[in-house]
Amino acid sequence: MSYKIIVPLIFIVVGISWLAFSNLSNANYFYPVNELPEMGDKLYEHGLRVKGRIVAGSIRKDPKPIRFTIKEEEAELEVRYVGEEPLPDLFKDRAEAVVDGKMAADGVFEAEHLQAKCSSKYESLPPEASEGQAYSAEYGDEKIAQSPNN
Amino acid sequence: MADFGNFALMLACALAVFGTIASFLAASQARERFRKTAIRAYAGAGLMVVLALFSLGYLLQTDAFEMVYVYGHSNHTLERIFKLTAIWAGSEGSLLWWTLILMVYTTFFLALTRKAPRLMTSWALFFIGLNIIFFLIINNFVANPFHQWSQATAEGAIAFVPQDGKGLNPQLQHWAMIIHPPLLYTGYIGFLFPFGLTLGALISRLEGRQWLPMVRRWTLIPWLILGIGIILGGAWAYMELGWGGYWAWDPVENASFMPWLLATAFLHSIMAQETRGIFKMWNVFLLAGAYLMCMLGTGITRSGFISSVHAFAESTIGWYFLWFIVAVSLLTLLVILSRRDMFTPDNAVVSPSSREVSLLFNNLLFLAACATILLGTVYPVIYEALYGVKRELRHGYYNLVEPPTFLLIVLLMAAGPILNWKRTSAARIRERLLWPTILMVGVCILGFVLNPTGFYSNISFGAMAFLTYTIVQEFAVVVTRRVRRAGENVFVALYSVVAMNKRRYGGYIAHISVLVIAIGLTGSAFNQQEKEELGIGENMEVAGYNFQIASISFEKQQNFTAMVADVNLMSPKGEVVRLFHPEQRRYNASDTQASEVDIWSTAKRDFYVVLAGPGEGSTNEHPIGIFHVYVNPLVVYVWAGGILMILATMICLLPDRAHARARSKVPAATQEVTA
Repeated sequence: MSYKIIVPLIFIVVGISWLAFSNLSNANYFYPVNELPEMGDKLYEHGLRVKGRIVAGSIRKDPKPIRFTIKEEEAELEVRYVGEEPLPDLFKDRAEAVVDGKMAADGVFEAEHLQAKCSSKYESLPPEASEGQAYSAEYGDEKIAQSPNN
Repeated sequence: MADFGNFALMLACALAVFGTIASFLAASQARERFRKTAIRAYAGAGLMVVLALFSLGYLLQTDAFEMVYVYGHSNHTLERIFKLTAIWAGSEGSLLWWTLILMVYTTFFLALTRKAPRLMTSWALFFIGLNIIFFLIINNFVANPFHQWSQATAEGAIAFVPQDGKGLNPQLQHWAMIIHPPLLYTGYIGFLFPFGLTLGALISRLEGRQWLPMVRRWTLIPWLILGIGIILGGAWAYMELGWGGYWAWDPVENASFMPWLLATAFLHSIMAQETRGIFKMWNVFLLAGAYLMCMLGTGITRSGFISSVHAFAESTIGWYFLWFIVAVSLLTLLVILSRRDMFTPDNAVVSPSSREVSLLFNNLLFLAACATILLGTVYPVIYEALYGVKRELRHGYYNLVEPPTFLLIVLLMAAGPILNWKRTSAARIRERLLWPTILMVGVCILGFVLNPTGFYSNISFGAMAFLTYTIVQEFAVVVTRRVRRAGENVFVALYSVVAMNKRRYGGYIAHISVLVIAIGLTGSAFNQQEKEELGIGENMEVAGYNFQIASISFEKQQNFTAMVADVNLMSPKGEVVRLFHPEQRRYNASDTQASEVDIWSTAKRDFYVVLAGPGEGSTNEHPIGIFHVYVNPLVVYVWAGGILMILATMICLLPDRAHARARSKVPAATQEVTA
């Protein structure tokens, strides 16, 4: 194949590769709430993405900006939403949330962008189920146990 | 009934294994009897899957909340139609639904390939069987929809029946969400069949013309269906989610786009193999890649490997998909290696001004787009594996890397069709591309004069002008020649031109549809939005348009309560141009909210009004609403382009009269009417 074909080919491959790799820095560190303390001071330097479950009753819409707390395995983080977009529809108690933004100096996370996911179907048991009892879903001999509360 | 369903599933799995073994024997021994056995076994498995699905549907309709799946996705007050669609609302049900679509598609495949070379289809049947076994194993052992609640007591486990279910996610109670998953599944499943045919053709050492046209048609159909599914997903997100956009580069969205890109490349590259007998290895890789990307995409959606708003909560299922992909890849490599003598090209690629070279660059660019999107999607996993810390990419990565790649593709879309096979003279290139280039440069300059900061949008408009000119030119040249020679009027001539070479002109119309979509996408660079908290009578201004709040009230319906507003778009003279009626609903059963956006689409721009909820200090007597208003130019062209793409593909799929004639007596040389 002549150089007139190979040269533009290489040019395109190199060009797009460079474009891709140079933009990989356009990223946020991603942590669940409980792993944040490990970061130490780096916490305040970078853009972050944090995930956790919205603590029931923690959403406060008045006064603005909207505040809520997210939690993962006993660690909690208070969040302040300063973004422009409307709150996602699935944004409610116990929903899994992912927040993008940065840690402010006062220890509250300033979120520019919010996402919320459907609560996992095993997470909340039927209301008639009583606390402290063990419930499971099973078919035949196979057991899938889950904890009664979350 | 649950036992019945479970039993049916197990039987289906057994029959599938039996059928696959039979098809392997049928292919390797070339025995017709084994083939009949295999087909009967698959039919039996298909029937069992139908019965299993029927029992799941029955359990949903009869509110059997002792079933974990029914509890999780339905409740007493859910409308009948949604109790039906709840079958594919959750992971287990949707995977069973997937298997059904797979069996139905296989049935069509068997019926429509009756006259095709037997050995190839027998081998294809074997690979299809492997796929069927995989999904039935998932249905039975990994994501079984027939699990029931039980309670541990002192006497042992007893059945537990909740009073009511959790209900269906209100976002799924929408017509587009009823169609979108089945369409995507059909698209994903569809790529298995041309892939199977390709492996079959390789193993049975078929000559190109015996299977290439067939493989192309069997790829075109899932390509179209997947494309519709993708656009429908975007349309749903735009209409329902209330953030004013239709694509978020979410891993699951990317997972549907990547196979589509590889399939598009394949559909073009196959031309080179049909005409010049080159790119044989490229084509196998592109098609295998498309199929494997579908499996990867499905695995990503369901595994939780990569966090996404779409992802289900599963974790082990991802590994099953990964191992399946590895196994199929190895199998494919095995076939390629054992038949490597079949990959020698029939011709060489010599001149840079040839159609072959443009298709080579086409393959490269589509592959690059797919690779960069894949890199972005799996980046968090790779980073974590390397550094132990997770990082996720922001939109900026995609929005900076993809546009240049796609712009180059747009230019190629324009230049490629005018190039000849083997070599195009410099005179012809100048004749066809000089004016489009001048137009492109002119539009770019005009763009920069009017809007100095919009770098990509100006270049985009230039490239699209280039493409528009070349396509219009293509049609104009051929149609005017026909008008002059045959004396037909313009419209009849246009129809005849397209009808006489549907594949080529259908392809051009498909390019037009891509152009239309590109116009819609470029418009998003000019989106504007504002957010304000307003009471009755107050107004806000967005992009120079005046919106006034006429009323805010509260409504109560059977399964939801809503905050409702009337918003008027006012003309500069103070007249009401358009009334918007956005709502914010709260559904009782699931305690979730959903915004009912009101959109007014015009040819130039969309007006998109959202009521996000009560504002600060809102009371029942003096309500205040949080209003988001977006003015999004040119969005309607994304949807219009999608519809045009469907029409274009249908045109391509219709058989040519000339083609039919050729199969009888007319020798090859006299068929083509060169344009």
